[in-house]
Amino acid sequence: MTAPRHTSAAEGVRSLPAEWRDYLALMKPRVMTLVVFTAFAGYVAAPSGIHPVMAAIAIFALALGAGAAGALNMAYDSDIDATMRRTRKRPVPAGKVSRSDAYGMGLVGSGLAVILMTLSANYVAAGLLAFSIFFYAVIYTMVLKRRTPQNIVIGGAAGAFPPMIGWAIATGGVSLEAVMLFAIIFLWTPPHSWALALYKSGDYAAAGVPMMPVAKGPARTRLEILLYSLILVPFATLPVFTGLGGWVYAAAAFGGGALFLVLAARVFRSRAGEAGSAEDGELYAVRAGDKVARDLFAYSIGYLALLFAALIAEHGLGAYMGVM
Amino acid sequence: MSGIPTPPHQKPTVSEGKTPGPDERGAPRNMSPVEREAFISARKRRNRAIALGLIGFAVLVFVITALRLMQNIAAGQAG
Repeated sequence: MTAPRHTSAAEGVRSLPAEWRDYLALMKPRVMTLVVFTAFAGYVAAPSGIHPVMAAIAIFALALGAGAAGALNMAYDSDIDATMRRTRKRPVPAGKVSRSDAYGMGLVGSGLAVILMTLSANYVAAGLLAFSIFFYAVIYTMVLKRRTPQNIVIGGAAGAFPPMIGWAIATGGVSLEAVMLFAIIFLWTPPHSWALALYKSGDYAAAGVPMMPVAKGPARTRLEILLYSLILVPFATLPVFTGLGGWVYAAAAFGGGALFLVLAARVFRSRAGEAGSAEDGELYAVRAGDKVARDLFAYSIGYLALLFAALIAEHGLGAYMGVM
Repeated sequence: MSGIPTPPHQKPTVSEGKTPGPDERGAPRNMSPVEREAFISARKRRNRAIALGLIGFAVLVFVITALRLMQNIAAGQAG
């Protein structure tokens, strides 16, 4: 199945056969953690549920599917990963896992994940999982990523599916509330990704990926970050008005959202991204002018986690007190 | 994986085509004895991980089947 040892395209390094840690890294475990977290929030927020063991297996299937999609992404993008400092140590460009093995793992993992989801939950959840894997691996990775600065806007849908799938696991269908949770992550993805791209634009430019700062410039990127933030923050408060979110969620959505807008406005007023990325220093070194973008990027992760943690606290831990 | 088209921007490296064939234990011939032992033990660990994954999948399918049976029996008795 595997060439016994192969050479890294990036560094010409010979290496031993891949071990389980390399395959785990191929599945982007940090992304899997976020997928499990948001899917669990969608599951507990839903009005009904399934046997807890079945639910646990279904969430595991979702994590496996996300990991398999990550493996397909790393297999296809190994050439550009090898040129970017942030990604050149990934298993395929580092020569630890061959590209064909990564494709094999992605395809087999996707199949097993969809089968497990079908058996443990229902066809709706399994269909959504299959579509989200296809969307991430094919639509985003193979079609959009190298062609358009809107790659992350459209491709962000792939990362927005987990809470909707969690909802479908519980109910066997999709409702307005599930679509709202989907839309929150969908709208959150552009300002989150572009904040990172502002201070890592050199990496993307070297790889030929037309991220917004590379294709349209930092000023346009800062404007788009502000515009998406102005749409995201009010939208994230909608669950309060539909009754899905109670007082805890309201505090997170209004308080956390206000801070998000403040940070987005700081980025808009700054000159973040103008100096290019700090290619000569530490991997995650940030130039003084780019710190506002780094702050927004870091906070955006906490903001999303806060919103979904609030839903888990209210619906999973009994902290719900309705506002409306 | 011959069914998967190789993207035009991804071509095999030259060294991949020059790798010598495996020895009687399946390890490449151009390795030192120490490297060869490391290669074989790494391969064993990987194979065990794959086996554990397959066993885990079979166990999960078994658990799902048992739970579905229990739920359907309980639903039949209630109805």
